[in-house]
Amino acid sequence: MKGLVFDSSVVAHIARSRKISSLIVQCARGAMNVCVPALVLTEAAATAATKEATFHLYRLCQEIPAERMFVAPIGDNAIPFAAFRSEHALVLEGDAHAAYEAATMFWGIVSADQACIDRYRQIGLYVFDARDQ
Amino acid sequence: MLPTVNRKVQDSCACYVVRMATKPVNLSLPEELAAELRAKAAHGEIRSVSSYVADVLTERFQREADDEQRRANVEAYVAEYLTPPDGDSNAWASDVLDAIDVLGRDR
Repeated sequence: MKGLVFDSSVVAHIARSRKISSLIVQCARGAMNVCVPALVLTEAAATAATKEATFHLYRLCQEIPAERMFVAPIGDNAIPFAAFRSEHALVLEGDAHAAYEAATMFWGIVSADQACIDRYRQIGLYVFDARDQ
Repeated sequence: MLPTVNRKVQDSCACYVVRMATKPVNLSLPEELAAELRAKAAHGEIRSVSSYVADVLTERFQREADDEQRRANVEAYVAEYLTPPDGDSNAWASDVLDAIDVLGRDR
């Protein structure tokens, strides 16, 4: 099973990024899986600028067949997640959760934020830049 | 439209011909599975091998049709609320898929 993890900046760019739309369509067609970390959603839903985009993303998670795009909970991973976050000094919860999911599942991580992209690369994650050129 | 499955199938051997409304489907069940299903039919657990196969096929066609509808819904949703993909973004996504394929194999 191959897949990608979306970070918080993906939510912020979802309405205007053709690249992210292509990934969503590919996921709906069964080409891969997409993980939306729960903390990315909670953070984005609590921010006025990304609130509407959060609903689009969540709706797509419901609509894409066979749960290929899913919300990943923290659940039983609370303690290893906290350790991971502290080890890599990740400040924002959503991005920390995204990095944690990508690191533990050996999946790529998608971001549209330069600082996040640099940080994920330092951690050793495989990063895809979703900004349209 | 979903094909309707005619339950008239040949029950006597491992080869089944399920007649669909649109076209007949030739179906070979593995001998072991066919024997298992015949035993179940003999014990009354299923009505007959043919009806069982017809039900399984109907369910599968229904699931495929549902998935197809949901895929279409996603593409319509993306086009309406997000920014529709173009050739460049599709080419980029295709490169991403190739890259994560390799990523998966490396680990």
